[in-house]
Amino acid sequence: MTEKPRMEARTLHPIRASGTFALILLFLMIGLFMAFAFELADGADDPVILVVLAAATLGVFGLWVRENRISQRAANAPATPRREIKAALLIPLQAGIVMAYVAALLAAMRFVPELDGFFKGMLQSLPVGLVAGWVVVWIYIILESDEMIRRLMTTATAISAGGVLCAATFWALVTLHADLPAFDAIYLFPAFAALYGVVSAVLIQRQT
Amino acid sequence: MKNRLKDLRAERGWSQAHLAELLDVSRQTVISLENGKYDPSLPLAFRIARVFATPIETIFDDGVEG
Repeated sequence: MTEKPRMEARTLHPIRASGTFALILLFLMIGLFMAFAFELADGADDPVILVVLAAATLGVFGLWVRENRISQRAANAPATPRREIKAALLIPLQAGIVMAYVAALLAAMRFVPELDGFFKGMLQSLPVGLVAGWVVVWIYIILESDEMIRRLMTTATAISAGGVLCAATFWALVTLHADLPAFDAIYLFPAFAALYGVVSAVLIQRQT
Repeated sequence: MKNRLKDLRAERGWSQAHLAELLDVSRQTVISLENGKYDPSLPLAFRIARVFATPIETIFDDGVEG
């Protein structure tokens, strides 16, 4: 007698079902990427550390994307609503664009003086293109999401934009008469995008 | 605001994903609605009433008497 194949759905651990594990992976990814960015900004003296941090960031990014999509790929899962598919694809895309922006920016700061011609122009304009790409994806998410997700994303935008604006102003006031490094405007976008990602994830988790 | 969304969905044997597809919203929105953490807009409330073929006031209860 042949044994019947097991067809019941695999139960997710509460830490995964509640989205807490995805949130932990998001924080870990941001931490690893910040370490990578600081290492690159420091001059990338040790290429091994740089490669390890880059690989770890990409690995955790992959796990985070997988964690967000795992319920949709189960063999016996119900069909995923159309609006959910868009968010599942676009939010990781936004995170990827921000990481590419910081990497391209730091690479441009380091390598542009040594280059000339086409490659110099391309490396200089790459961060601009990535910011524009992020904005296009952000507008698409806002327009295409359903009303609750749109409200959460708009709230997250307001909180993160206000938070970064206040923090940058506060730091500018601190450094005005002190011998401390200034916060360059080119870092406003990744700071805003990172805060936006965290606030969005927390708001969505609290709401659902 | 309280609502009977979960009961109405269970009566019909629908999954949250199926209801989300019918309402053209995400599953997260259906979960929030059922938990009472999100109050729908008027157009969405009308869509919900239409999907369940039930008057709005029998689905949602704002807790105000009279």
